[in-house]
Amino acid sequence: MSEMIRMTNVTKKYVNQIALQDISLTIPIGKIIGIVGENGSGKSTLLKLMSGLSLPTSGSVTVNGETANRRTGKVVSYSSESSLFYPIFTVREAMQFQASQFADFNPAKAEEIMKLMRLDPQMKIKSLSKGNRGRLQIVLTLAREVPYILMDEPLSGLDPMIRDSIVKGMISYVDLKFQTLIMTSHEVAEIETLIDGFIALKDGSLLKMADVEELHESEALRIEDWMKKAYV
Amino acid sequence: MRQWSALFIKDFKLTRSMFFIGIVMNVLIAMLTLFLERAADDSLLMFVPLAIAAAIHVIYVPLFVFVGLKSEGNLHLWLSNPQPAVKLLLSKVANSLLMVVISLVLLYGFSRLLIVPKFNLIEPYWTDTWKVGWFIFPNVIWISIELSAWVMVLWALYQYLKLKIGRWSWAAVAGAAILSGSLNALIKSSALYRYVMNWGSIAYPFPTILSKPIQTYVGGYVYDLIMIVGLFILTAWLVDNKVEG
Repeated sequence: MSEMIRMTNVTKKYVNQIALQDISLTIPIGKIIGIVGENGSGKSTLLKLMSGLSLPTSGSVTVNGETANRRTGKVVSYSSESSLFYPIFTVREAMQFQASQFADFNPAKAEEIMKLMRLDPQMKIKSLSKGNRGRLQIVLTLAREVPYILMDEPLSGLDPMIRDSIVKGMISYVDLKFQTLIMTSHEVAEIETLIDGFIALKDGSLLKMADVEELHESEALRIEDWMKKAYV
Repeated sequence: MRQWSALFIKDFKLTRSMFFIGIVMNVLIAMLTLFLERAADDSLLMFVPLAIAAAIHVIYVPLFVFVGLKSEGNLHLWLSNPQPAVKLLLSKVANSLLMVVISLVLLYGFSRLLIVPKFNLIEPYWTDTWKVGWFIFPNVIWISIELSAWVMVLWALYQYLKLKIGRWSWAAVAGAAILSGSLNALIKSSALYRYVMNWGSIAYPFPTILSKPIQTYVGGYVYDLIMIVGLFILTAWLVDNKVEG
């Protein structure tokens, strides 16, 4: 079984709109990958296709050698920017619910991350601020011991003053011996020091996929500066 | 078991507001019955709201299933759960069934309380009234389950089509509903259906209420069961393979 996410000539259309076009890439285990690009470039769609929640119009997406579909959720932990966990639950109930549904959910790890995120376990989710809902998403996603963790804009809504410490803490819970973290972010500068590689999308097409070190060495540029040149 | 019970409790919590609204409506119906008792003294008219309330329960299961599915929002969370769609859907149907049974039992309880002081009004029909209840309640639940199977498959079809054809998906689903409903009605009225399915005749005589007994066929229930299971499997397949989050 090949331990990787593989996309081959993937195109995704919504009604008449092309969200992604002819994307081919592979992502192995043991990496932290950032997906960057302008708004509407297809970052979230790319993540959804990897999670199996979205299906390609043409081409194929495989995760560990199997065609991605919603049952891919067994090996992929995915958090969406737009989804709100069931508001009927408290933070603790949400963790208990996830533990009941996913055998790989690690309650002790969830408890630790919850403390790091400074969440009150008794708070109702519907009463949480946008930032705290984002933190809860991080707790629920990272507490699963799965090969692939996909996070769509995990930093959005986080207070800039504590964002840095949260991001570093977050990364410390990813075990790169058997996990890969793929995240989208507008805050390229903030994630650049944490990621091993990046996928740059432009208008639904793959502009570049490279290691960060490789970019630093070959072009002597940070990702943000490279983007300023490439997206003109 | 823990997985199933957690799913069931979650689905109960998502639709409990609707369930409690239903209970309140039962209480209001009982109050209306009391009012009619005073307005139309010594008349069977006072039992009309209770009969209507019982009949309305036909839409309970499809309504609760639909509200349960709607409350999953953009479906990211629901579809991220890798349990088979059969399990995810069954939890919603089981919840709705529990709710309709509780609501019908409460309605029955209210009816008994209201009937006792006016027993003289229905005394001649009492045995049949009791039997009609036993005939109507399971049939109400049965029809409700069949309707919910249709609602689920149309919902899944809509979820699939909305990303393919956008705003036309409503029209396509409405067309599919009319077409499949007409086809089902055509099949049920055909000579072939009568030939194949009209076996296992059961007559329900209610001589004090109806001049002719109500006739049903086991074959008819078997046909309904095949439809329910078929539609349910189709819904689960659509959710597992075509619906996107």
